[in-house]
Amino acid sequence: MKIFLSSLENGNQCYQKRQNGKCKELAYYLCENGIKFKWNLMSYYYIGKNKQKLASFIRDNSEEILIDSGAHSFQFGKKVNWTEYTREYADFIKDFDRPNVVGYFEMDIENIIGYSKVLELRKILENVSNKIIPVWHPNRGINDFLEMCKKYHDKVIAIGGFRGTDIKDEQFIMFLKYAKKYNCKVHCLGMTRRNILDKVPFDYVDSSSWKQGGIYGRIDGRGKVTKEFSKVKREIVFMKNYQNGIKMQEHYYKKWRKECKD
Amino acid sequence: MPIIVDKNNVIVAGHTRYKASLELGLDEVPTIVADDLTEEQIKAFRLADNKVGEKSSWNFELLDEELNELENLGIDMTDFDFENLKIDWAGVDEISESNYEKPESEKLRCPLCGGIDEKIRFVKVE
Repeated sequence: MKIFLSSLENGNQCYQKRQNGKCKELAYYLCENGIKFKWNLMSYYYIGKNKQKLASFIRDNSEEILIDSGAHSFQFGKKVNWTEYTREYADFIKDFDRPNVVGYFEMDIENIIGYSKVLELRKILENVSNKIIPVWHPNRGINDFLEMCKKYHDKVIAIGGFRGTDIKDEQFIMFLKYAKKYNCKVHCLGMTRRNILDKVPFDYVDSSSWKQGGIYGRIDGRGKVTKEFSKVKREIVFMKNYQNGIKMQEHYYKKWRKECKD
Repeated sequence: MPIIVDKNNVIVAGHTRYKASLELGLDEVPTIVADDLTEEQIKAFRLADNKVGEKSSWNFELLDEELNELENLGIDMTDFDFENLKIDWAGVDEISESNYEKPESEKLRCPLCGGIDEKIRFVKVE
């Protein structure tokens, strides 16, 4: 199981390089401090046009990368031209792709635009890459999942991992078994519950918990630094939390290394 | 990796290696005598030695090779956080139309007509 740590590209973790007062993103600071990236998930929403250099840096220093469309990040009610956004995302994919990019999530906004529009947007993305990851939601019905596994055999597919809304906890393993029949790799979105991760060997999951702790000045999910420390040495708080994220990556990789072979 | 001791043979780094050596009944272990370090330098070295380990990470390809080798030799590494879980897939049912249980989704009530339906079926107003 590979846990992709998300939000490293999200720039509100800038740190001041104290010698010259210039602001730099956290990813550079981590690398300067000898942190080796394993698996990161970045969002196209945050990368946009302004952070492609940073995204390339993270990609080139990571073992593997996943990219999310970021469509979920738009404020509810905001008027968005989804076709245009998807075309820009597709252009980005063409330029950004490298062998260590595992895949690009489709425009997972079915609740806003409906499934037929999602399929339309999926086509735009599939025209530029064979690494587009379809995301299944329960309202499409179970047959749609079964068909998706057949259609995307040998590829990565995604399911939602949010408690109570996506899949019943005891049925995740049954979904996985069906997907394996078609040699699909399964990414469970937003699944960070240890009681599930300890029982179900998803190929990929993602987690932003390292960042959530850092935002509130927490280290190790327990200790809390002072407001002053968090303000002036925020990068240290984030670095400790990111290192803990790496420990979690190592723990679950080791745990499921026999079930989740590449 | 030798144990590092100061000029008085006090261990500076390698306490765990020392304990393991005792447990294995070793009479001799390789050591480096850091007799040219001051008290302060020894303190700093001890802290730095513990700190660098925090930045190390695993090379999983090599780890897999090593663990497989040890497994073939019958050495069990599970006590050292090297659990190696396997699912008994034969005992797991595949998801299908007949056994799929849809989770209860959040429901909303229309304030005008009072009708209730799944949240997902309500259309967002842009």
